[in-house]
Amino acid sequence: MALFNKGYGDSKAIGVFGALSFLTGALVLATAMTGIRLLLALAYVVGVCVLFSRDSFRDLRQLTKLVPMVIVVSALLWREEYQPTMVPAIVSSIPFISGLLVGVEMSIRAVVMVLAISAFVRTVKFTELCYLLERVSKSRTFSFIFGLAFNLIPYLERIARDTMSSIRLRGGFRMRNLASSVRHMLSSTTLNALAKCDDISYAAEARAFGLGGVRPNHNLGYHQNGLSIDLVILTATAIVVALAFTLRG
Amino acid sequence: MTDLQKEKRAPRFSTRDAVYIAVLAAMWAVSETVLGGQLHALNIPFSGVVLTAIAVFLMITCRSLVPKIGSILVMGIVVALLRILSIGGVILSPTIAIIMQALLLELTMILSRRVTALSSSIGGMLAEFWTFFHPFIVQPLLFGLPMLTIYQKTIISGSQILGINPANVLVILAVLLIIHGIVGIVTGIVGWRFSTRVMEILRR
Repeated sequence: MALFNKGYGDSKAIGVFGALSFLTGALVLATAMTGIRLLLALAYVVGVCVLFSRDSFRDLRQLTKLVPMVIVVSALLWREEYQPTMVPAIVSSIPFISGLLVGVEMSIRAVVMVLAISAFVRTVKFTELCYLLERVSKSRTFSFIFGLAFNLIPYLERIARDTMSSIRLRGGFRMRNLASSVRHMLSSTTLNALAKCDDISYAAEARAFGLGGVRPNHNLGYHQNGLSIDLVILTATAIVVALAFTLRG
Repeated sequence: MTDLQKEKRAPRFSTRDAVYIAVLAAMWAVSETVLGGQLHALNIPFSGVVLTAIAVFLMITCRSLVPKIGSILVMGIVVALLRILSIGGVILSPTIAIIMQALLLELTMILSRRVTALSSSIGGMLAEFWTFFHPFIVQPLLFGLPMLTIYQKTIISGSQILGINPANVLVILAVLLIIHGIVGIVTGIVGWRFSTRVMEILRR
């Protein structure tokens, strides 16, 4: 499938509890820490990404426009006093430096958040995440819905492409009939897709999915090997959060 | 095991409900990745409005076909996960927008108890309003509260440079908000009309 990414690339799977503790710790640090202490959060998140998920650094591309803009705008427009701890007062009194420091701090916070969320998504196994969601929602259909939606995407793309071609052949998608063409395409594609639902649900029920035949899926569940990594990440997160709050006080 | 116990252990959605949610979620995911990717690559303004309009249409159709609490939210979570899995990488902003729009529509439908023209238009309007407010909420979340001060100062400086009253900037923002609201109402009503028609076709 061209559009969707099934593998982990350069990432190693952490257990769901380790990944969740890392995410929570990183987000707490990013929101609660200010000034130089934010660098501790950055160092921790970068460290975890280097060890477990180097692909996450690629997701920083979404900040390439925002970060320079935020730094420049805050350097030019910020006029209030800003004195981070550990930065000499003489430095922050220079014009534009206060704004620049605010911009840099905001950018570090955004980098920490993006890296933390990206590392969480890339390291946690989707089967484990689905299992967790099913446990929380007490519904056994979530992974079925997710898996089915994932597998239906190429089929729906084909329907949409065929419908679009046929509308275009009838003179659609011109400026004068653009709105009606989009409406026709959307309704036609949706109806076509919904017409397939009967077949899929009969096939699923024939494979004993449904009210009577629901059995625990042994492919889902927490993996055992990652337990030690989970424990290490949990401990590391607790130490870093405790250290950051101690330094703050 | 008694029938009551069986019913308690049963999944909340039937197989057919789950299939409807999956199909519509896949359609939403396709529109987000294919159309959304192209619109953003071309830097077309108001691309979020178009994508939200399609999403509202699909969410209302989903709620009409699966009139159970949580159907829209489950659809939103599935689409958000599919968006995360898409080849462009983990992009936070659209993922948050998808979940918030699903949440807003879900809350509207819970409060109205059933899918009507009024509830669909209100839900559509709220989802489109979220598209408008989205950057003003997500960026302060991501960058921290000083972002709000930066916005305020940018508006004041921008209006001084252009020689317009800062109050006029607010008028422009209000007009944009109204446009978003109107698109949301129209999409909600179109979605509701389509879903009632689909129900008739599927009943045949």
